[in-house]
Amino acid sequence: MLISTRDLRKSYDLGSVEVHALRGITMEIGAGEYLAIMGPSGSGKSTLMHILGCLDSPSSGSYVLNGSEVAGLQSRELARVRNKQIGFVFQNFNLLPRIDLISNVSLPLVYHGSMSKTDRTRKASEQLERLGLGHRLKHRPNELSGGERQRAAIARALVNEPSILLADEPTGNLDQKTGREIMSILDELHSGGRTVVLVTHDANVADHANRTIRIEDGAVAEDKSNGGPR
Amino acid sequence: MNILESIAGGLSSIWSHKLRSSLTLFGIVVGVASVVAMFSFVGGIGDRIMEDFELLGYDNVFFVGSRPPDNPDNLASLRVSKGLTLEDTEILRKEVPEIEWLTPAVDSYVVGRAGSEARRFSAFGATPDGFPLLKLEIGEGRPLTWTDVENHTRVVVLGQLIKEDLFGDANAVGKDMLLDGQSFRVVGVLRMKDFSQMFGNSGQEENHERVYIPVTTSMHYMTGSKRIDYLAIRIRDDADIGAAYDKIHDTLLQEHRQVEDFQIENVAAQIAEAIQGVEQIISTWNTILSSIATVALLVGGIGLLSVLIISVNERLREIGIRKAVGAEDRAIFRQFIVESVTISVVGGLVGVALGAGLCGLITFAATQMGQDIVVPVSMTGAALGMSFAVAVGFLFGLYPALKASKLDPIEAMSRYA
Repeated sequence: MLISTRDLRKSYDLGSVEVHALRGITMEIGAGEYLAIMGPSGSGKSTLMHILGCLDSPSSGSYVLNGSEVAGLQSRELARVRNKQIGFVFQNFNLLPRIDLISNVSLPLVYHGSMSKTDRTRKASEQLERLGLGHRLKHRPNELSGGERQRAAIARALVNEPSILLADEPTGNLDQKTGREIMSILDELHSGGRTVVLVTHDANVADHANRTIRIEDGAVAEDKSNGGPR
Repeated sequence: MNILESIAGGLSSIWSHKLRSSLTLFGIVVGVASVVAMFSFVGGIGDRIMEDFELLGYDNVFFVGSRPPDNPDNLASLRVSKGLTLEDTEILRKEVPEIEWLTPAVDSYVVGRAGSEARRFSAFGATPDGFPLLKLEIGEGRPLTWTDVENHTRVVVLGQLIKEDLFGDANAVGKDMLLDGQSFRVVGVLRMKDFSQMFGNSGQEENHERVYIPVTTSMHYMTGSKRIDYLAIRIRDDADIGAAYDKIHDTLLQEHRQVEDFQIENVAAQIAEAIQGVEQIISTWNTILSSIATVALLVGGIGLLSVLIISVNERLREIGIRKAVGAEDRAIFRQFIVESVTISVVGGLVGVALGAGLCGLITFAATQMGQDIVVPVSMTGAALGMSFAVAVGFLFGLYPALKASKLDPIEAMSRYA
């Protein structure tokens, strides 16, 4: 299994009240799966996504990613896991506004280790070209359309060859047509062998995945297969 | 990411917030510029004073003069000691290795005449060693020689002011002149040194308002006495002045058969004391100025601190994104501390340049006012200013950088979302 969690819990201490965002999530995600995590807002799906993405740590429980336990890691090790194993795509793209696409896409490589600037630039432009942004390399995010920005964000997520691509409402800020365009990119990535995990509240988006996990009130309410691979 | 890229990042961040950066820089620039200018100014004046002391040529110098013995009633003592003579010169030269230069001196007031010009001045009887001893430079011709001394030749070396009085612009070397009616040949003329005039020309003019003749000539033609007026002695730079003083004193006492009919004026100690006084004043000033500069830089540092805190708050989302894609805390810390130090180094460099400009301005203004004061840019001041700037950049960057590095990525990213 690529991902296996057991009884993941997360609670926030807000002084007088303790808020339980996750109340024991146990699930497995295999390599090459295309999974959608659904749920209404406040269900805990974002918290789950943050923990799966190593942006947050569970209060208790176990999370094994690629064979190693990451639940108890320090922030420094979590940063490494994020950098090397996880690619993030956010609803609002989260590109740095003041630097061009090459620099944005190179960012994970900057923190990867000792790659030279030339190599970083080469890798980043290759990735951007693969996503059809070869003509936008020197452009800044605010010079691009929403779809282009999200494609750049996907390029950034993929540039370190992560084992898992996490997309949090990847079409949430896009119009329908552009949203479909982005989804077809994710579909392609999945067909190419990538593990893709989507978080969405949009059933149409979730339909792209092979499997849907529904989270309600911090627990898995439903885990169903969407039929054969598309 | 290597350090050069971090610095480039810092510079581009400064560049993309020009107004904010320049406001921050201002405090540091002013602080560093004032350090440089103040140190240069005080240092320049101090150097100039020290230089004057050195030009005066009285460092490491003793004068040994005559005086009545402690018990003048004892006439016998006057008979056993012959007083200061040329022999004392020979003995001291032999017995006191600390002595670098030594000359007997016989001073007599004479009437000098060249052509129609006549003046009254002092004719200083000395040996060739008197010139290096008093740090006198020959402008034209030659100094006195040992042959002149042996043969009590009637030759004379003129102080520059006397030469100008008697000969004007005309050439004096090779000409004859009269000293108290005796004919002397002018063999050389001294050249005055370039003093700051901070104390007027104290000491130096005296050397140029007299003439120099062989000591033997003076005794033979002017005083007719075997006694000399005093001994001038210069001690080697590396010698211990106190020990040399004692040795000179003991040697002379023995030579004078325990009659203390001489006294040693320790000019060296007086000069050393004066130099020490000047050094103390300068160091006091440097302390005062450093404190002022420290305050100025602290103010600059607080400006830097507030701008960096604003900068961190403005860039929460950037920090969150960087962390999300794998930046460790220390990478973020480094980014902000490098930025802070880069700002302060740029401020420091601009400050040093401005300080150097101020030095030039002071020099220019002094020249305009007829003062020959040059304020060279103090390297100490520049180094101190720069290190202050770097320290300020580092110290005041610590908190914002730490704050940025400890941010939670999710929280940081959700700002301005």
